[in-house]
This record gives sequence, structure tokens and C-alpha cells, in this order.
Amino acid sequence: MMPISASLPASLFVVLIPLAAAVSAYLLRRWRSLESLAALIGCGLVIALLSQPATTTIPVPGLPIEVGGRLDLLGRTLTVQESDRLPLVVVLASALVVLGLSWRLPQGRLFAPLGLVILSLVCAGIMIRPFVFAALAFEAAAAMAAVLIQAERMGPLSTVGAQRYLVLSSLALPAFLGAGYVIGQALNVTEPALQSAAYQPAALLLALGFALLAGAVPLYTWTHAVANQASPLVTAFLATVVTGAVTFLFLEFKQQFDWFRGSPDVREAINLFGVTTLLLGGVIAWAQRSWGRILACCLSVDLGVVLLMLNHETPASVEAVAFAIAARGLSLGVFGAGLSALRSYTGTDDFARLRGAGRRYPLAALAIALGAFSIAGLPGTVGFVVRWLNVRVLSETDLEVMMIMLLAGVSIGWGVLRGLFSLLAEPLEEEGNAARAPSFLSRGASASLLLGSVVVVMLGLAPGLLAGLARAIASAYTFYR
Amino acid sequence: MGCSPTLHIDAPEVVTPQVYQTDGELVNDPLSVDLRCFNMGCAPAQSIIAPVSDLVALLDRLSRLATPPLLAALTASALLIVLVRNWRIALPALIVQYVLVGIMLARAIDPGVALIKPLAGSLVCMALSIAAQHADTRRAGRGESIAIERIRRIAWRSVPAQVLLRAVAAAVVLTAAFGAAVRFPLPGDARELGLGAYILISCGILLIATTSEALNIGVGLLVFLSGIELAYTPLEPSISVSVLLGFMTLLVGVAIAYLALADSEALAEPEASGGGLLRGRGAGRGAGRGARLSLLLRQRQPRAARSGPTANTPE
Repeated sequence: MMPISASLPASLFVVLIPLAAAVSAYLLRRWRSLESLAALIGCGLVIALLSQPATTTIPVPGLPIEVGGRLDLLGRTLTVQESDRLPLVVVLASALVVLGLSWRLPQGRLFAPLGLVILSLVCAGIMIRPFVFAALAFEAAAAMAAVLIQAERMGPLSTVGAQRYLVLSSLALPAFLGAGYVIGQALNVTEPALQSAAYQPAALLLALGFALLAGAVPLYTWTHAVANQASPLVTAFLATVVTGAVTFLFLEFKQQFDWFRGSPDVREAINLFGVTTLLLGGVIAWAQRSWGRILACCLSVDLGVVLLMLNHETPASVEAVAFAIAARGLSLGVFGAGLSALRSYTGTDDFARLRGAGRRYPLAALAIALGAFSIAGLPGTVGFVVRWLNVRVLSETDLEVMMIMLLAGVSIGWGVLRGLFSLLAEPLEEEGNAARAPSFLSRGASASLLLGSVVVVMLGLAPGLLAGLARAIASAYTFYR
Repeated sequence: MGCSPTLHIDAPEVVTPQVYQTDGELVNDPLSVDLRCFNMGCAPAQSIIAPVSDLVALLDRLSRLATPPLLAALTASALLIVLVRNWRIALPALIVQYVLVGIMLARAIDPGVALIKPLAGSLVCMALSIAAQHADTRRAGRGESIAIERIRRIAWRSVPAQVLLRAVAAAVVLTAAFGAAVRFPLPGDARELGLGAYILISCGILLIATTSEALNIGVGLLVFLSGIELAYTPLEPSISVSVLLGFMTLLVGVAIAYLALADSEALAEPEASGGGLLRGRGAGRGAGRGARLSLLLRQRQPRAARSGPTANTPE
């Protein structure tokens, strides 16, 4: 008989509630409002559960829930540790934002159900120990993500983004499995002088695995193909929820393993990946001719900067990482929502073919502009706070990289301005009066776009809520002390 | 803070070393004991468990075959998959490969656990074959070439060039795999599995890198994952790892089948769904016209220009 304790661990619910919500959302997919409601309730319940400290027992009648309780599954452990709790909240809240934005901006029949399954898997990936199983969870999430990226699109070459995402996530798997084995062997090494050498391959394998999962290696990987092909909110979801979870897993590794934190090779590798990803996004952003590509460049720049922040061991850098993930959900979510509205009407996101569309859909244009400018770091948006935190960290250590980051922001801004000029330009004569007539999105879609845009600006002007959360996340880690 | 409460759902951790008699009878093994208990207790379960026990025993016996023939068969199956990009040949070869991987895994871990691999692989191949058949039906409807026709009427003029190129690449990759197996032997006791793992990993990567169709890339990915499993499972011979890797194979297989179906469709933009987002009839009409115009413009463009949004290079 398996021993069952009097209370149940919260980790069980963190995995099961999104899965149950996914099933509900799938069954309710004909009724979009109910589907979205099921998804939001699922995320909200888990956030409420995790808002309690890890030492708390929640007195649910007949079913007390221990937030920090352990769940042993097939000999592995799932636990909500104190350092994992708030990162999980950020991941779930980001999913909540993106799923909420999709309420009136449909992203495909499977968006909510599959998104929730992915959410459940990445949450399991953050909580599971030993970490080798996190790699398996992320691989399973990647398989689901491939279906999500593809959605209902058909045709040759339409599967490139999904294929790349799946293949690159699969390539990360052996790196994690190999690292797990090397760590197991290195534990047998007792001589302190030999230990660092024993752990060295594991550190490098982990760095490579993280870089692959984050889309930094090889350059120009899934990010651009996915941003071009997938629904914009799907891109935002993957970039925020999955990549955010990977980022927090990286921080957890730094917290747990001294050899990983202290490895100069890992530091150099992550620095190289970060700078090149940032450079790639910055160099090509200004010249793009479609919003999908601008979205991809925004993603590259943001991922690059987060990788650079992960290389620092200061409270400010961890705060910047946590803030960046939360802000990315908002910025990319609002950008994606606006782009989704435009794409669904016009069937394109090319600047040239969207000429004048911003006049007909001003709210969509506003959401795109604010979301993209926020990633670029425009003052008055939530992204500016992220860049400010980044500058605080980089100005003390690496002025060149700081300048590259700022210039990458300018490059994105330039690309966004080009797109906006096209959106707001006078429609061409041959398109007739229909292209000039004002048109209106549905109330729900308009409200989503407007609310998202307002939140991006409000959190830019008063970032206290997110800053408090980021500070709390940073204080839960001790590796920089 | 007191002791945190614990919920145990399952206990098995590490599979015990093989403790089978030379005649293949499964004894002293937790899994086989459980199977016998089922056999005694429940008649319907017996009908399911008995063949599984037979399969386990068969796998155990096959795992005692000499290594060279197994490696040769594994290499042949990998080469066939790399050289012939036709699902009617590649998928049966993949099933054979899964069986071979299962046999090789049974040399290092419990055959009952190793059986997961061929079973999961066969299920995946079945799903892929259904997807591929469905895709071929669609292609046939459009008058395009399908797999069975390519087998019946081989284009002898173009085949040698294609196969030769792939054969040269495969030869290079196999040489590299052999070199890697000699220079960087994989750790663990079952060293003979290392070469097999390197062969599968390298052939999988070669296939992924040299094809653009979702089904072929997916088959390459599955070959790659088999190689990873062959390399890793002997290092951590636990039931949970094998079960999770088998589960992962199934999930990846489902995703590939979905992508293969999507890949087979004719190039068509989804009708703009602006109507759902728009308010008012005039707006809806405008949306439809805008979408149709966009589609028309796109269809008039040459194929290379149409693939713009999906191109692999930045502008």
C-alpha cells in the first residue's frame, strides 16, 4: 500500500488544475467565453494556491493542502519550494494574461486547451527533482507546442516553425540527460581538487541545453519561423510561459549548484549566446518589412538581454530577469493581440499590404505600437522599466554590451516606426473607398486591446506591483549573497 | 517548520539487475512476479498479460543474440530510412528499428521495461502511417505523385543522383559515428550499445538536416530519440525513465503526425476570420473583401514570393 498523508501537496494541484482546465476548455470550445473562462479560472486557482507561503497549510474542508508538501511520483519528487513559488506565479500570471487576451481574439480551437497542457508541463518541469525529468517535461511541452504553433494552418512550408521548435527542443534533451549522468558520476569524486573538473562537462552541457531551449543556439532558430507562422498570441505564450519557465529553471540551477554558478565556461558561453542573440535582433530589426518579423526581432532582443542578465549574480540582475518575464507577457501579449486583430481582418502582416489599415483599426494599431515600443524600451511603457533595470546592472560591468542593448532598442523602434507609417498612411487609390471607410472591431476585441494597452502604460508609469513581485523573487534566491 | 507531509503514489525506483534463468523463464523479478499474480487472479487480464509475458520472454531470448548482427541490422534500417524517403518503406524500417532498439535495450535493462520501446514505437508508426495515408489520399486527389506510385514507377533517371548524394552523406556520417564510438565511448557497462546509439543519433540528425517534409523530419527526430534512449537508458536503468521516454516518443509521434497532415495540404491561406472580430455588416463585408483581395494577391505571386513569410532567412 502507498502511504497517503493527511494533507495533499500543492504540487499535485499545480499540475492537475491546469490539466483539468484544459479538458474543460476543450469540451467547451464551441462556447468561446466559457472556454476562456475555464482557462482563466484554472490559472487563477493555481495562482491563488501559490500566493501562500510554502510553509502554509490551506484548510480546505476534508482536503487540507500543504503548499510545500512533497509529491513522490515514480520515485521522483515534485515540490513547491519557496524559491519556486513566486516564479511559478509569474509564469501562471503570464499565461493568464495571454489567455485572457485571446478571449475575443481567437487564436485557433486548440489554443486554450493545449496552452493549459503546456502550462501544466512547464510547471511540473520547474517543480520536479531531479532536474533530468524537467528536460523530459519540457520535451513533452515542446511536442504539444508544435501542434499549437501549427494550429489549423495547412500547406507546404507552413510547418517550418513547428518543426524547428520541436527539433531544437529535442536537441536540448540529450544535453540535460548527459548532464544528469555526469553529475551523478561527479558526486562520487571526493577530492576537492578534482571536483570542479568532474563537474565541468555537466556545466557546459547544461549551458548548451538552456541556450537551445531559450532559442539562442543556433542563431536565428525557431524564434523567427514561429513568429512569422504561428498566431501572434501563440508566439507570445511560448516566449513568455515556456521560455520564462526555462529562465527560472536556470536561476534554480544557479541556486542549487555551486559548480554551475562558478563555472567560467558557462559564464562565457551564456554571455556569447546573449550578445549574439541580442545583436542579431538589433541588427536586423530596423530593416524588417512585416510585423511578424518585428515580433521575432523583439523576441530575440529580449531573450538576449535576459541571457545577459542571467550571467550576473546580483539582486538587481535577478530582479531584472523576473521583471522582464512578467513585462514580456504583457508587452508581447498586447503586441500579439493587436497583430492578431489585424491579421484576422487583412490576412497579412506585411507593411506594404497593410497600408492605411491603422486608420480603420486604430485600437489594433495602438496595441501593436505600444507592445512593440515597450519591448524597445520606450519611456512610459512597462518595457522601459525592464531596460532601466538592465542598464543599472550592465552599467556597472559592461558598458559596451549596455550600448548594444540600447541600440538594439533603437533599431526595434525604427522598425516599428516604419510599420506605423505604413499603417497610418493614406490607403492607395486603387483599393477604393472600402479601404478608407472606418471599421470597428467587436466590443470584446476592442476592450481587450484597450485594456492591454492601458495596463502596459500604467505599469510603465507605476511599476510598483511588478517591482514588488520581482524583488520578492530575487530575495528568495541566496546564490548572490 | 515541521516535517513536510508526503504523498507516495508509486514506489519503484531502480530496476534490479537481470535475474533470469538461462532458459528465459522470468523469475525473481518484481515485474514478472506481478504478472504472475495477475495471471492467477483474473481471467480477462490473463488473456492480455500472457502474450505480454511471451513477448518479454522473446525479447529476453533475442537479447542474447550476438552483437554484430544486431548492429548490422540497426545500421541497415537507419540507412534505409536515410536513403529512401518514402513512407511505405521508411515506416516499416522504423518499426524494425524500434524492435532492434528494444532487443538491444533488453541487454542492459529488464526486458519487461525494454518492451516499452518497441510497443511505443509501433504505435507511433501506426499513427504516422495513418497520417501519411491520409496525406497521400489528398495528394492523389490533386493529381500529385504519391508514395505507392513512386515505388511502382521508379524514376530511374533521377533516383541515382538523389540516392548517391544521400549515400555519400550517410557514409560520411556513419564513419563519423564509428569514429566517435571509438574515441568517445559512452560510459556504462553496455558499451556495445554506444555504437548503435551514435549511428542512430547521427542518421537522425542527417535526416533532419537534409529534408524539408514534416514526415521525414519527424522520422529523423524519432530515430534521433531512439539513439538518445539507447545511449541513456543503460546509464539510468529505472522504470520511470523508460516509461517517460516511451511516453515522450508517443507525444512526439502525435505531433509529427499532425504536422505531416498539415504539410500535405495544398497551399491555401486560411480565410480571414475578421468577421468574428468585427462589428456591423458593412465591416464584415469589408473584411471579406479585404481577405479575398489579400488571398488573390498572394495567389498571383510566384511560389518563391508566396513563401516569403515562411522563408528561412531574415530580410
